[in-house]
Amino acid sequence: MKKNIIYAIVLFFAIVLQTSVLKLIAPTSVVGDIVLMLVLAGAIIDGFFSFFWLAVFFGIVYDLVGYVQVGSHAIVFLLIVYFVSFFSRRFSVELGGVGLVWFFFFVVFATILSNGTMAFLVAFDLQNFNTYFKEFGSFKNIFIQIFYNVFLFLISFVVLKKIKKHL
Amino acid sequence: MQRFFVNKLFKVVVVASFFVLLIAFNPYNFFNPIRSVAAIIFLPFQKISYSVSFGVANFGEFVQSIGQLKNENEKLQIENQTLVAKNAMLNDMQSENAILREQLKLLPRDKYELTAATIISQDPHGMDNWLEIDKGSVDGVVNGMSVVVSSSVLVGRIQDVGLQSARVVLLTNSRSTVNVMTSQNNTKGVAKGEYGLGIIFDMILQTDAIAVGDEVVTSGVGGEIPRGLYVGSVQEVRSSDDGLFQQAVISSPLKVSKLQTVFIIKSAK
Repeated sequence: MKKNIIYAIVLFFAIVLQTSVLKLIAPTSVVGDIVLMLVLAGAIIDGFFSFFWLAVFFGIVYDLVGYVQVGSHAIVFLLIVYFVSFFSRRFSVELGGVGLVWFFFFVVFATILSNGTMAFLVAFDLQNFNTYFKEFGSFKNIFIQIFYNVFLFLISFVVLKKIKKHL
Repeated sequence: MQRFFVNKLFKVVVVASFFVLLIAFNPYNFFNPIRSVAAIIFLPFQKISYSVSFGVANFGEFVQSIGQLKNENEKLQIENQTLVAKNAMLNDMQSENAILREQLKLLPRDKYELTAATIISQDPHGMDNWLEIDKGSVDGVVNGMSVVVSSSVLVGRIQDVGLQSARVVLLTNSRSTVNVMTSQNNTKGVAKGEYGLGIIFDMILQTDAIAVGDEVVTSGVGGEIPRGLYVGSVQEVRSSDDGLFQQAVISSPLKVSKLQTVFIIKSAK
């Protein structure tokens, strides 16, 4: 319970940072997604059952604060939690060695899934699927976003690991 | 069988299906009260963090720009001289305009009742799609109001008004359409957002004149947005995909990530 409360506080401030800080301090127009990376790190560290509902709940909160259709981020987060648990049960996912490759793979997957879902929702809303790839973003932008997300993921991973260790 | 219902995949499929249905039916207004409550909870934190990071970003930019100050200063002095001359000419034209308006019995141009608002957050995906301000329905803000900076540069329009906050949909948002015209020769069209990346001046008749450098302002058609608000200048002119119209890329003078205060046009005086 204590752990969930602390995770909730961390996710709350991550949403605050994402909506009001990252855009201002990012050197490019593309920004990473700290909430997404925290969910990814949480799923790796805590596993499916202890992180699932927290991820879904904060997905809804993120949707409400981010003015997108309610359920959008919730779906992305729950798929990420499932995807991570699917692989981490079968392979060793640790901070070091081959585990780093898995981390990178997860970050790439989460970034593409998030962008893809958001672009799909805009195209669905506009009823114009020609706009999908334009909303999705260019390869250059995706590459920059993955770069930022790797950085944010490592910070999130270390922070959550420390929290878990102290509890 | 019982194991299947408690396993991960079942849980994911059921919850995901629920959200897919929620998105498909999109009861947007249903969530507005909850959105409003969430906005009230987040508002003080976002307000503080936005203003702190704005200060940090400004300081960083200041440190970076020290080396360029001399060159920039020279450039600004030249620009200032040009603007002083232009201003003198415009003052003369303004008084001439007032006389002509009086002679033609035209109403004076609109003056606006403005309300200042502080930006508290922006599109978390960095697509320049919207920003959130700290004024809401309790301050008399309603959907559709225009938001400007420097008294006449259009930023966007109000959409989704909460109790103490409101969302401003920017001109670069792909859902944004504004009726515009060039101030040089009244060429009319529609300014559409280009996926958070820029603004396109669309639906310009092939017979209408438009050139790089032309200034684009709101036309006031439709009545929702006042006439004469500055949108940007034409950067590039091309033909539309179907060849029926001309299109122009508009270069906006605004850098949304550098804004801290905006003004809402509540009414025209």
